[in-house]
Amino acid sequence: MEESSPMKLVVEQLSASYGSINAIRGINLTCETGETVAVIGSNGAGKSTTLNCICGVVPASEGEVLLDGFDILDKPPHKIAMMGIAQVPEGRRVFPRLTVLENLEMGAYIVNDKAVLKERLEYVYNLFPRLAERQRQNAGDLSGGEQQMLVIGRALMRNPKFLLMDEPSLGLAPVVVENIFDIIAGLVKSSETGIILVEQNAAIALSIANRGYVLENGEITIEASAEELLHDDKVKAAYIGG
Amino acid sequence: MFFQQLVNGLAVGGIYALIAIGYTMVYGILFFVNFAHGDIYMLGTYCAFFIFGFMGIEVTGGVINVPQFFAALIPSMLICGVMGIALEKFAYRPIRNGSRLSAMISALGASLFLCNTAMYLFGSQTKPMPKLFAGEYITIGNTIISYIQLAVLVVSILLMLALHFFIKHTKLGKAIRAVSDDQRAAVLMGIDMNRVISATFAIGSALAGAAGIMVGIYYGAVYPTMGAVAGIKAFTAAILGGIGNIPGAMLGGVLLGIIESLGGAYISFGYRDAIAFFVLIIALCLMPTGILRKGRT
Repeated sequence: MEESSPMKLVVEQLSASYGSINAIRGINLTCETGETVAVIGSNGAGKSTTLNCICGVVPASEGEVLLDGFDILDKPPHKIAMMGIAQVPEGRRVFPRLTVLENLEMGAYIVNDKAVLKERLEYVYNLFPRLAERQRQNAGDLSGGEQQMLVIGRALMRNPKFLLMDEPSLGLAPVVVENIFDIIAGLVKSSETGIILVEQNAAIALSIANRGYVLENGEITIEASAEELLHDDKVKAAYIGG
Repeated sequence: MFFQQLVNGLAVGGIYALIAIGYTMVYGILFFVNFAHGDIYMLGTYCAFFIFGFMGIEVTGGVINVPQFFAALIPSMLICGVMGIALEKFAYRPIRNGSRLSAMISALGASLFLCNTAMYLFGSQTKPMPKLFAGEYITIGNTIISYIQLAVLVVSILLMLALHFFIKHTKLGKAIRAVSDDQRAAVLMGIDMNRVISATFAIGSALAGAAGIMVGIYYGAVYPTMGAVAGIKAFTAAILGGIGNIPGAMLGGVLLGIIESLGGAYISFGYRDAIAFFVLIIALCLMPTGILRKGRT
C-alpha cells in the first residue's frame, strides 16, 4: 500500500466550448494532495469552466482529467464527487430552504457511517463556530459571509481529497474576505486536502497558495510558484494593482 | 348547509391535495407539468378495481371492509409508483436535456397513450366500484359526515403526514429538497439525479394512485377519462398553493375542494368545475406564484 504517497489530480489539454465560443483551450494543470494551487484571471477567463469540467457538470470537448491516473472526464458528476473531488461553487450556492445542518448533511451525502458523519460535523463546527450557532436556521437567511462559510463547510463534510474553490471572495465585504481566507489558510496548513483556488483577488489567493496559474482568454499563460507570481510585474499590473 | 359543504369540500380537497403533491414535486425538480399524472391516478383506481375482483368482491353494490380497503390500497400505490418511474424513464428521461416544450409535448402524449390504453384494455364504459362501509354516517348538529368521508380525510392526512416525515427527515427526502433548491449544487454533493427523479415520480404517483382508489370508492365509479378533470383540478390546486411547494399543494388542494363545494352549493352545482377554473384564473392573475411561494433566494 502506498498510503503515504500523495494523490494527484492532472488536467491535460482540457478544452470546452459553449456553442461556438471556446471557453477554455488546452488547459494543463496539476494539483497534489497537501498542496494549494491558485488559478488567477479576470472575469470570463474560463476559471469556473475549468472547475466545472473537472467536476463533470460542464462537458469538455477535448482533453483528460486524471485522478491518480484514472480518467474521470466521462463520469457523471455524482460519481466524480464520490471519488473525492468537492467543489465550492461560485456565488455561494447554499440550499436556501434547507437548514444549515441539513446543508452540511447533504455535503456528506455519500458518507453512510453515522460516526464519521458526527466527527465531520464536529470538525466543520469547530472550523466555523458561527455555523453551529445557526444550525437550525434556513441557509437562505444567513448573511453572505455565513453562506460562504457554509458552502466551504459543506464541501469539507465528506473530507475530500481535492477541494476546488470557485471565487470564495466574490461579493463579500473585505473584512469578511479576510476572515474566510484566514480559515482557508488554516485549512491549507492543517489538512491533507489538495486545494485548487480560483480567484480574481490574486493577492489574497497567492498569499496562501504554493503555486499558481494565470488564465487569460481560456488559456494558461503563466505557471509559476506563488512567490514568483506575486512579484511578477505583469501579474502585479494586471491582477494585483499598484 | 355551510358546515355540510365544508365537510364535503374537505373530503374532496384531501383528494385534490394528494394528486397536487405529484404535480408540485415534479415541477419543483424538473420545471415542467407532468400532464400524464392524472392518468396515473386513473390507473390507480383500475388497480383497485381489479384487486377487488381478484378478492372476489362484488363490484356492483358490494361492500368492502377496512382491511380489504388497505389490501387494495397498498398494492395499488406500489403499482402506481412503479408506473410513475416507468413513465419518467420512457417519456421524460430521453429528452431531459431538451427544451421544456418537448417535455410538455411528451407529457401530453404520455397522457393520451395511458388513457387510450386503458380504454382499449378495460373498455370505455364506466364500471362500478364497491363501497367502503354501507353508507353509515354520523351527525353533528344537522351536518352529516359519512364514514367514507371520514376515511378519505383520515387516509389523506396520514399519507400527507408520512410524506412530510419522509421529506423532512430521511436522507432521500432531504436530497429531493436539495435538488429542488439547486440542482447543480446537489449533484456536486454526490447526489444521483436519476435516483432523486425516480423517487419523486414514484412518490407522486403512489399518492395519486391512493387518491384514485379513494375517489373510485367515494363516487362508486371508474372510467378511463376520469384523470382528465381531476388532473386539471389538482394542477389548479398546485398553482393555487404555489407550484413547487409541497405544503402549498396540500393547502391548495384543501382550499380548492372547499371553494368548489361552497360555490357548488351557493351558486349552482352545475358550475362546480367552472368555479374551480375561475379560481385558477384568479390565482394566475393576482398571485401567479401562489399562496406559499417556492421562496428561492
